[in-house]
Amino acid sequence: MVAEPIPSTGELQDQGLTPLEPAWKAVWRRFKRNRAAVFGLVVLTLLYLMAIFAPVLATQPLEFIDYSQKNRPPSLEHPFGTDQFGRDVWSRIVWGSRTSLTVGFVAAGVAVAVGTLVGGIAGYYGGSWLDIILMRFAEAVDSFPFFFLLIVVVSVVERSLFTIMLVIGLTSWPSLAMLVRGLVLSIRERDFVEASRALGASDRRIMWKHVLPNTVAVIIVSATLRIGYAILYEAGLSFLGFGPPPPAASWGKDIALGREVLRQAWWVATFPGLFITLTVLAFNFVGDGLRDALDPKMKR
Amino acid sequence: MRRYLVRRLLQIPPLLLIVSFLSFSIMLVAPGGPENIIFSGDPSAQFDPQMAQRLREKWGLDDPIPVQYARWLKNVVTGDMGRSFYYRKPVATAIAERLPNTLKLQGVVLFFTYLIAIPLGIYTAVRQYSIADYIATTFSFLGTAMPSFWVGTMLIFLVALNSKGLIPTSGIANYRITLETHGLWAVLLDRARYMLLPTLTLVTGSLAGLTRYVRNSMLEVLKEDYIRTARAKGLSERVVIYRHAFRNALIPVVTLSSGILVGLFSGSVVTEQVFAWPGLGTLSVEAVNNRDYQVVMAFLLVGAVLSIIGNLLVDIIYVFVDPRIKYD
Repeated sequence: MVAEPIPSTGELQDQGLTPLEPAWKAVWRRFKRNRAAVFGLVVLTLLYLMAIFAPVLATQPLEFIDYSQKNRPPSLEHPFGTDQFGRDVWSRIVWGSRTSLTVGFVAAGVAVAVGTLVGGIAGYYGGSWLDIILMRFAEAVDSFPFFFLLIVVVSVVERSLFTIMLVIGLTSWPSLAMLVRGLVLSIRERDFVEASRALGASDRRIMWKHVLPNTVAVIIVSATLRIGYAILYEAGLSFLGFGPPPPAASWGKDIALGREVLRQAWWVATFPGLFITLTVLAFNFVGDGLRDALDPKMKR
Repeated sequence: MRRYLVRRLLQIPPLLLIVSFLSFSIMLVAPGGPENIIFSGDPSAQFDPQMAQRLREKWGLDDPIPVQYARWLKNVVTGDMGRSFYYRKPVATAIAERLPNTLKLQGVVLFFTYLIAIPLGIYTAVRQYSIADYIATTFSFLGTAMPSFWVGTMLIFLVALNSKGLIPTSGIANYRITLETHGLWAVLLDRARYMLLPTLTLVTGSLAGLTRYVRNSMLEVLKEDYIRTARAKGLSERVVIYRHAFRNALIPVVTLSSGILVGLFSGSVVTEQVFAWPGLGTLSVEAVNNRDYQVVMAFLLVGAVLSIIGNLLVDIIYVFVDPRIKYD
């Protein structure tokens, strides 16, 4: 890292004279210093606002088709042009943001829930047969070619926005489970846990009061990065035709449609891709910023 | 160390058992069950109960599931991965026909990824916070955030469509250009034209992760005491970096290479699709689309086995390249 600037008196007071600065405040102070992370946070806020206020921002309803104005180039009326069905590309992006952000959030949530549970149990009973079974299972799921596994599972379930989120979450938890297990195993051996055990704390209390809280930082960071990846997976699934069925708008599907008219209307495929990139980039920036802010020791 | 390796090897059989059962179970959970799949291979049976019963017996669908699983596993182990209903040929043949195309593309991608990522990672670590470092870091972030199918599409739009036919948008070769008619150089040039954009797309995606990994690993090593010692001895910066730091920085990179084997096999599902590259990625998507479950099961199993082997190899190599680690 760059050498820290010499703190002003005010900052010294902040740091020195208020030793009981709440943890979240310290995290925010460190997070703010990371320009990329702040940029990511701003972008994400705008994207979520876009998804929430989609009906206001979109100039066309979700299921709109007007062949009379197909493949129009970008203009004041249609900032990103129109596609082969005469749909305003900007409106498609606005509606699509709902799909992407929902899928990202829920899929990452499922992966974190399952991964933390499995990893927590395996670590808690570290070395037991339960640990061995759970870890073999996690390794087994993890050893399949990931994206192929994803389309295979999506193809055998009743396809909907909900099942797709679920499938992405249920296929991507193993790496987190292994991470959490490792953490739990190492925290269990730490002195403060030993002390608590010596004072007669029950296993359950040790787990909930001492071990799990110390994994939260890693889990939050992983969850943030996972939202970005889940958005990429959904886009890839939709691109290949395995995405959520209509009427759900999807950036990935719109890029696939844009490929059909790439020669006549480049804007149809280009702009949704820019939004996917921007969204994933923002989640990665925020995730990296959180990693450095939550635990300065926790470097990549 | 021996105990570690033995324990590591003992993990493999249960892992293979779970993986094979999960691969097999796809058949069971497929919509309509296995019968539907058999019928799709032999549609007339759908309207002929007697023929359906014959097929059930022929394929052993009345047997208990563990028996069916054991039979499938036995066949797979002896090299019989079943038949592709869609292509009407053995699964192994269907895979073998497409494998060279995927190997070729993935091999070239792998070569360029490592060729660029390792020097770039080392350079950006040595010149941390230089302009080159910032550019490489920015590019890394972009590389991981851009969906590969979009990168491919944009390359087709920006390069192929503006190249006046020089760079093709899809496919693998102009088969009119052969060794006999045009000679070696013409053939190589032709194949390279087709390979350019898929390679660029895949390298863009894989470069970012590896470069950052090498960079961080090198930064860690440069902080070590033995590097300070080497500098204190008065060794030139060149020797310090290339003799002492470089080799140690590459050790963690071994970990990242565990996926190479499975990557060479399963290829890139999405990128092959974008460029209509007739490899295993495309085959696997066709298999899913056509409900060709024997192929799907084979893909899942072989992919998983290769990744298990890759992980095992990396763990074994690690024991030898990094003597600092104590294995109990």
